[in-house]
Amino acid sequence: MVVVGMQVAASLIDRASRNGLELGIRRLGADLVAVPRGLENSLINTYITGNAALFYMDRALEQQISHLDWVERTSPQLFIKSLSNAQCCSAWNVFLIAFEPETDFTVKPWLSGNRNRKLRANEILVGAAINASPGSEIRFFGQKFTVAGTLDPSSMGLDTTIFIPMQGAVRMIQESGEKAEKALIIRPDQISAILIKLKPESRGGLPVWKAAYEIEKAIPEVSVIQPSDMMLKVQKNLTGILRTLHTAGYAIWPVTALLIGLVFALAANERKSEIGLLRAIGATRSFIFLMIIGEALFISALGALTGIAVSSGLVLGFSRLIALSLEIPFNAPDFSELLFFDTLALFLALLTGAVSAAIPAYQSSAMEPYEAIRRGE
Amino acid sequence: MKHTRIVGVVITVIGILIVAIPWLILPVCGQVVAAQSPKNSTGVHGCDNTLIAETVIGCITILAGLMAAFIPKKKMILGVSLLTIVLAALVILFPTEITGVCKIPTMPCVYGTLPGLVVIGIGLALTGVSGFVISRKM
Repeated sequence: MVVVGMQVAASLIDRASRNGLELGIRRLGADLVAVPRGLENSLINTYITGNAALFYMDRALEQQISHLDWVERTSPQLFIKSLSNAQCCSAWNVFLIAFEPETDFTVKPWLSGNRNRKLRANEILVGAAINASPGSEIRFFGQKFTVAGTLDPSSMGLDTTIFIPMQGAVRMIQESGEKAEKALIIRPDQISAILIKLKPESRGGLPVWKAAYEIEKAIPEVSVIQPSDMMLKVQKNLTGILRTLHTAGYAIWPVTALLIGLVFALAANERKSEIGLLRAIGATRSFIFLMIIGEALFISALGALTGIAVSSGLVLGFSRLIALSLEIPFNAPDFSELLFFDTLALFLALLTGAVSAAIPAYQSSAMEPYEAIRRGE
Repeated sequence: MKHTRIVGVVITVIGILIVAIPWLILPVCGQVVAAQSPKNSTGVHGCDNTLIAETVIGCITILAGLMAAFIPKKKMILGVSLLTIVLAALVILFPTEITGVCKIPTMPCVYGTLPGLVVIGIGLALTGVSGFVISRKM
């Protein structure tokens, strides 16, 4: 049960984080993201976990990037975090991203429903994991906003993010001194990140890695993040826990197999007279062999199914906590993938049980009935 | 009789966990705020009512477990098992349906307390069923 549980848990976490990362990168939309120099890890962590990262740079940098020949378009974003435990906010520690609807190319494509409707300044878009239906009101820094729509799931931190039009965010910042418990100190000429869409290479664009290098060379104030950076970060975060689970599982497996063999050897020894009687009344050797193997398979199946149920339940139930703790995206595998892992784990458990009990089963089936009854007494 | 005492002890331990989860192990938002800044108030959160409800249910569960452990008679075990199954349903229903938790998924009560209580509720239900089966065999 423990071995199967560990292997299933490791496979689930691995698969779910890969699924989440693939979906999240597709969802990101931008080829590159520019942030203040040295803060790329903060942004990657924010995108993966949804924990707000607050950093700012000059808005003029966006103009510099957009004038580069191989850049098709750019869109700025401003990061804000709602207050902790304040009466002026109806949600606690939520990551707010202010975006420009006119230049945006990453947020609105993932809006469920009417993508062409113009957003008003007091309307917000919420991530898929936020339980707020269109039309409901949420307050930040004393300002009321109405939910205009919900974004499709991304399996990353963006699911717990709220997107505010830049105009509405600017008004919120300006009025926070009067309306909020704590004023927001952000200048109007500040932004946090610049989303970059590159021209295709056929139209004079550059490969993503080269464009990132050239932008950092031309504009030393920024660091540029590529999607592959996020993949590396997630892999790094996952390596430790997966190695632990897999190693522990592989280490315990042979011990478990030996224990099963030992238990069945002892059990067969205790049941000598019963086996002898069965042989005496006509049971064949293959019947005895299959009877013991059948018991081993039944016990292995019971343990495996319990391990699968418990580990799957715990991993899926605590998926958000796991994702936050390990700083990984998490998109639960679909039913067919889950069934594949579980079936594989069950098969391996049954194979282990059958192989472990094979020798005691053979020895029991090979006993002569008279000897077996005599020794059993 | 030994089995019934074991069931009683397990129910008591689970009752302690029902109380400990929202207060200490996977605390609700108010408790997290209080731990981070003891001078501030805990504030008002959607999960506060869940905290109170689970504390009451946990205390009842502890009492039921102690009764089963110290009075291992058939009718007592039967009654405690049935009560435990009902309490298990309440442990799960309060944070999911009745009092609920906060709406934002980044809140500790959503990603920690809620799944923790659901898991322990399932454990309590299974223990209650085991107790029922044992009492029928007595």
